[in-house]
Amino acid sequence: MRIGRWGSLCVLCILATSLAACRTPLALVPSLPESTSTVTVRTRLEQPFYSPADGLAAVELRINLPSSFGPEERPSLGGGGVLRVFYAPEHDPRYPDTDFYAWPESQGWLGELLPGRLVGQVFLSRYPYLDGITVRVGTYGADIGRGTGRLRTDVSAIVREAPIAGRELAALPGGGAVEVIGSREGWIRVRLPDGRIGYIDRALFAELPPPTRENTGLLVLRLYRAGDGELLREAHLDVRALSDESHVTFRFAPVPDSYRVEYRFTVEAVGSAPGHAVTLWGNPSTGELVFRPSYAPVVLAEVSLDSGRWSGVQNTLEVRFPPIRPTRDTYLRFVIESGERPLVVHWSMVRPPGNLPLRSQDDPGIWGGVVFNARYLDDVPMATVFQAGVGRAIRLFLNDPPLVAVYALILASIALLVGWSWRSRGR
Amino acid sequence: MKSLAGALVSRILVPPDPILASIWGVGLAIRLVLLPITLHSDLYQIYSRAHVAITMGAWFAWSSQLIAQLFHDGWLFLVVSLLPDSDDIWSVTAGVAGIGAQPHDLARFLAYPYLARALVLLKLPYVAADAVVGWLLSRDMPVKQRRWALALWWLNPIVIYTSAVFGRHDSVWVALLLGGALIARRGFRWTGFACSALAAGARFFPVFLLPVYLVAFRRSWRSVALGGVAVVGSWIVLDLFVVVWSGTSPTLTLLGDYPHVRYLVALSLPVSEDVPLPLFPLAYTVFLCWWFTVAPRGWTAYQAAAGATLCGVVALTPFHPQYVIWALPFAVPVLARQLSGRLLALLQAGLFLVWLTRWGAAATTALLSPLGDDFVSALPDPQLVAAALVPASVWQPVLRAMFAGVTLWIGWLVLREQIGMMREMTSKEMELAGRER
Repeated sequence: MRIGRWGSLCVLCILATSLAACRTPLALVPSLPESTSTVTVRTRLEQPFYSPADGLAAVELRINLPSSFGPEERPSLGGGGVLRVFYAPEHDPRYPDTDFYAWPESQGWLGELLPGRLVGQVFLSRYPYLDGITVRVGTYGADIGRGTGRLRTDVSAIVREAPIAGRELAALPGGGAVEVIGSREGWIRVRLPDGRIGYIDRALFAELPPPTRENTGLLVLRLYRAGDGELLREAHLDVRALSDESHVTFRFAPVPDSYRVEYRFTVEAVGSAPGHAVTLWGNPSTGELVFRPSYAPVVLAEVSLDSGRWSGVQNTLEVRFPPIRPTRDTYLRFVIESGERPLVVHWSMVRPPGNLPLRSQDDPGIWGGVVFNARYLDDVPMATVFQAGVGRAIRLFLNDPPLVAVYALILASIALLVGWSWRSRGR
Repeated sequence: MKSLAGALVSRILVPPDPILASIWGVGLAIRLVLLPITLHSDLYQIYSRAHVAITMGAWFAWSSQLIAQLFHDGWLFLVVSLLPDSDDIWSVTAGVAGIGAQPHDLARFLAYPYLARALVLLKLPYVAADAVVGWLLSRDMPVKQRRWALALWWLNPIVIYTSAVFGRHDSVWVALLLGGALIARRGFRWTGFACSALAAGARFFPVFLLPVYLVAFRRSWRSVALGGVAVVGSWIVLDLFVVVWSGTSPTLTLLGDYPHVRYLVALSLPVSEDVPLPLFPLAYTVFLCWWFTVAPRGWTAYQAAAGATLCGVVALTPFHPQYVIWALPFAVPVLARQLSGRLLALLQAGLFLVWLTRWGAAATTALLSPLGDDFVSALPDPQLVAAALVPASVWQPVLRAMFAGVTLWIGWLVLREQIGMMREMTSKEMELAGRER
């Protein structure tokens, strides 16, 4: 009897434990998308994607295997290639600075940051290892003024629609004079003779107009935990080193446990004065900053493709690694680096969740996504979920006493009828 | 007087069969639990259109599935007074083809303080229809078979899912179709035919049974021809009326726009590179030819042909889970008679439940949306769980094939019984003819 009671207790404990954290295998997508074509990876290929679950444990790639190996070649599945998994917060569209190149008219400069003025912002960090906050600063032309600039004679200059990676507008011969009207992201904004405005790399200028003013002081960012207001990090930037209309990151030592934690940061200027201060980009009507948290790059998994498992059904190579946590509600990217032989990887016009294209160093023109699936081992707290469901169902009923009364009446009638039929059995 | 009253009371208060009562009780209790905690947007859409109809008087604005819509319009008209402050919980775009109810409309409905009551009331006709079908199926049977027939219908996960969980109105039309056939069995052929035709007007599945009905319940071949002409003639008149009224032909709209028409030809064999041979139309035509040739009469014949045809439709077309219910009503009485039939019914229901995962959260976990978005999002999507275990390219076709196989076999079982009876009758007739000689 005693043993039976203990035995029952053990069974209940096991059941409760298994229900409390049920480890569930999950796939990223229900099935692999149709291949459109292949891309040959000679150097590096990366694919960002949105990860909806926790415990990423495997990546399954559709690749072409060589049908035979040469006498000098080592027969292997992955040709010595390596797959690495990283967080990809730079692709996460859920922070105010969604588009690096966009400077929409609905936003604007918040005005000079003078001593005593504090710009604050609360945000939810969706990744661990928070190591900085990127904001957009304006220097009012402190790094470059308006006027005429002269290009270097030894190179011709490409004029782009936007700095860094904008579409090419024109090519100017070296040594020519150009009308300079400002700068952005360290590139010089110019007006072409036909009235079009474009950007030229600063390094291509031999002469530039002098700055219109000189800014002084420091920008100080302080990071607090939103819950208890504890100061966690502080970072400084010398305003003299800033470029007009550019992104700048306040760096600090990484905060490892920053996953799904709410923070508040403040930015203030120390030592600035009216006419010698910088400003930040945001929403002037609400005072909210346009910013993006930055995170220290961490290799979450690194695995040799040669250790993968080939599936003859799917024509895929699956590489497994210990489950990565946390990965729920994050953007991740995997990077494939080829080894001793190129890898032929399938891609599809159907992109993975997150709708982000692959990036190939060898073939940058592909806008599709890698044909892949990811597998998770996610902990589903079944007991908590079940409890929440029952609680919600009870609340649904309690909102409506007449319905409860009708239900009680019907269920009691059923019980009575069934009980009566069983009691009268055989009469 | 006293003895008469006593006799009456004792007649009315006959204790029911305890197992039957338990089946009824358990089935009803399960439904009562599921009714207020599950919702599919189809239910919200159809009642949103009904709300537009009853508030704006636009009873005929929704031309697709007009009969089904009118039924819901009428039901909402009756119960809307039991839903206080419900004017703004409906979607005004639900009746706009191609747009439908928007997520924010649905969110408003889910935030309605009397959500549980609303869901119970909106699904009530379906549960009532389930009960009517259960009662019709379990009549005129020996007690043991009656229990099984009732259990195979009333406790069948397919039926519970369709009516109480998904909130789909098919069981209403199943009840009408079955009721029509039973009315015909009592001798009211044209009334029964009207019921079947009405069911066919509401859902497309019973359309395939109309020729079978005409043959099985014929008084003469002239009545078959008359029925055929009546159906075709009515449709032509209706079509012409709508063409004159709105400038579009319902027939051409059905053939061109209605996805179910495409489903009927989806499964096909390649005859040549660009000519497919669709399996369902082929099988149905062969079946009809055979049926017209042997031309059996009566309820049993109709039941067999209807059961086999509906099993064929479900097995050979890319069905949605809420349509599987059509495979059951005429098959259940036959399945209830034999152990293998009961096992097949259990297997079919089991395969159906596993097959549901193919439709992902939309047909499974997301139906629990009345319990809150956070609750639904915490549940793993069954389709992704399955995909993590076995490639979808393997388990989905295999499971679908198994389900189709079991359903076709059920159809064959139902038909085989009828063929056996026909053979028996033929041999008896031959025997009688031999004696007369």
